[in-house]
Amino acid sequence: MEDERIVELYWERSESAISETETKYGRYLKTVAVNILSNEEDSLECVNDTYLNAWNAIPPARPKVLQAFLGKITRNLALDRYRAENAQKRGGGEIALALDELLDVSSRESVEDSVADRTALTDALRRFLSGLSTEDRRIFLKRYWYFMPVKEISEEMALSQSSVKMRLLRMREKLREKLITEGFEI
Amino acid sequence: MITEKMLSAINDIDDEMIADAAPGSRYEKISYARKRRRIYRVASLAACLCIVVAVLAVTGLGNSRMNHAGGENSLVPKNNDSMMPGQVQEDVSAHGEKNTYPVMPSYSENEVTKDNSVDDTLVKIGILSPLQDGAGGVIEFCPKGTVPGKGFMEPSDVPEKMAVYHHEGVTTAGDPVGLDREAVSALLDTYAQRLGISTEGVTENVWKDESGKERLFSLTVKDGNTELSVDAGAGVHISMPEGSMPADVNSILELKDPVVTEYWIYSASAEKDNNGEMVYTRWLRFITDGDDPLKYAGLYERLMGSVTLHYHDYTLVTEKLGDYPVISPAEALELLKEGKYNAPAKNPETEFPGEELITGLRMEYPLSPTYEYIVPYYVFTVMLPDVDPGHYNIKDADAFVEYYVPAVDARYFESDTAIFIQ
Repeated sequence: MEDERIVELYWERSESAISETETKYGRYLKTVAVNILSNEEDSLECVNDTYLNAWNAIPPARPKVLQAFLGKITRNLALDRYRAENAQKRGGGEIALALDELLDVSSRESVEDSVADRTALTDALRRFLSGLSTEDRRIFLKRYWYFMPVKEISEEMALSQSSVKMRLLRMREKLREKLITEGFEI
Repeated sequence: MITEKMLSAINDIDDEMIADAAPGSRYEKISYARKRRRIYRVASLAACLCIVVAVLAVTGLGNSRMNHAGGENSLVPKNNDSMMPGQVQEDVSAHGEKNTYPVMPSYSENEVTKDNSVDDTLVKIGILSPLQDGAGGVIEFCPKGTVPGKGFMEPSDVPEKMAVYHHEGVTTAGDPVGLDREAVSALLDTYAQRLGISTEGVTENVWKDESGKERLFSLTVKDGNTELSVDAGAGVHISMPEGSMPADVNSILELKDPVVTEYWIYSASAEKDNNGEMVYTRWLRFITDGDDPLKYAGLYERLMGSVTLHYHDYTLVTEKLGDYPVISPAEALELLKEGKYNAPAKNPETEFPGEELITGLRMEYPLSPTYEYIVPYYVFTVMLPDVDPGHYNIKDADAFVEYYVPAVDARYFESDTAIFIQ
């Protein structure tokens, strides 16, 4: 079913909106959650919560890109759950690795000095991502938005793992330089 | 923590970008794999046609070594121990007779001791695009009775380890570096100035990419008998009549530290002269800049007619992955015999015909902006007695081919199948 029609079902308060969402995006959303939580049961709970959140958000929301709208909800729910579960211990899994990589861009030590607000940072990121090739942008987002393991990215993109790692390293360096150039204290 | 801010900031980026990067379906995997194979095919074609042939191996595997065929460990047969390059050519002039070509002797693995351990700190090398899927050159032809490959490197000349580079910015052929028109035009002006020719009447060659968008391929200008062409891959091609090319081509190239090496490969141009005769081309000189194996120029001449200078005025942006263990020539020969090589599109005609037909062995770093990894290769030059040059409308010629065998220990490749086309 077309996304527009699914959104209409939400607006019509038709419960089939949920089942249609599940049919079309259930697997995708589970992937988003599993990459963060590495746990099947927790991930399914996140996905179910996503449907509930979507039900509550639409209306009034009328998402243009339903997939990303849902994906963001799942990602936030999964990250919240991840934070709660790892509040007292150093987390493992893919997200921990990805976060460690992001520390290349934004060091922990400089946190207190940072004045970058979220909107400005998002804008800077958007400009950075827009300047990348489509392929590099996909790789970057697969890693840092979807927290996909490098191995899976390499398989999807038909690249070697070393090539993916190398590209990610280059992009992180480039992002770091860009943020510094734009006045972010990192 | 700013990492948290970064996470949030990434979360808020455009929905279209997020959806576009969604974990792929099976279709996406297939489409990427297909796209890459297509790129490799295009790239390899371009490599065959115009871009890059080779750089002599690092650490001075140059002419001097080639000329020293016949040491204790030489791959040249013992009865040729005293043979000098000229004599090699003389020996094979009677093409067609039994044992005409230098025979590669059987070679004991004990002669080269190798450390069997694997250095885990070295990054595995990925796909060696585009020296796969039929890439690596075409069937070539040399004037009948000549030797297409001159000399055999000696096992003792092979270093234990050689550098492998990862090349950023791998791009497709036709737009290998992707200079814009302004940059191409600037290069054209630079070389026209060095040549002392006018840039009046520049012609523009374009091509269409997959989306149908017209893109610049090259700018060409002709002044008198000199033709200068610069392509979007920063390739500079200068043709002029025989005898007109300056003896010191570095007056044109302006390399900081030119190292000139005589080249020895004959190959046939696809062109015919005004009389319809095949015009052979021959690489004359090979020029590298200092010790950098990734910076080079090639000069070749048509044995009749013009001389052309090819140079790529760019530096590949590479990162050295590390120094990798190199296999011995004997091991490379075994791989060749097992069919583990890259060569022209594999078919019965280009199957490795046997070691007795090997006429040369050297090492190279095949280079191109389209290559993701810059890896040293053994290059075996081999005669193809079963190929009929007449089938290709070429008279009085012998056919040969070059087989590329990766010189890096296969344990450092991510996938055997990515390297060896069976």
